[in-house]
Amino acid sequence: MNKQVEMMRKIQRYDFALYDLMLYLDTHPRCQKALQLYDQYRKKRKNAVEAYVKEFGSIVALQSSTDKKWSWGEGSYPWEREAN
Amino acid sequence: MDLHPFEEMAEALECPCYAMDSQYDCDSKEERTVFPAVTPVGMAYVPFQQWGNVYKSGEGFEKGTMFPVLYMPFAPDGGDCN
Repeated sequence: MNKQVEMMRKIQRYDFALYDLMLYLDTHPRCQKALQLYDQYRKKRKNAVEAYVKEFGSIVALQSSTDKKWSWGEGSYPWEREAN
Repeated sequence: MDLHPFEEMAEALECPCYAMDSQYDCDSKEERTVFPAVTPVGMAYVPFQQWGNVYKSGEGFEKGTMFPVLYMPFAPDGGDCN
């Protein structure tokens, strides 16, 4: 697995953890342990996304540079393996 | 006048389980129990999940849940994605 795929997998693992914790928190909104874990994963996810974008470019257009040049079109397309 | 079973149940529970913003806290003594205190017959009940161990994100991703209590691989070779 190359580095780009590895870094994307990491984001996807965090996204999964956050989604499942979201479902739990919907029915347990005051569970402090779940809230703490959610916050930890949210931070890890944020860092992982920043690291990915810095190295391989935007995952979504919102992250594109608007400084002189639009960088969104430079990465792989959603139907290409590298993008997933 | 007789109460409807739901009303009876709600009254017995003082209705905490219907209020999403109730004082529920997994560390407190007000923890919501696995089953309601009153369970009218003829109804089905879903056990209410209690906080417990969680998988690390990588293992949860493979298993399809972050919670060991919800990991129920019904296939003979397990439910992991590989």
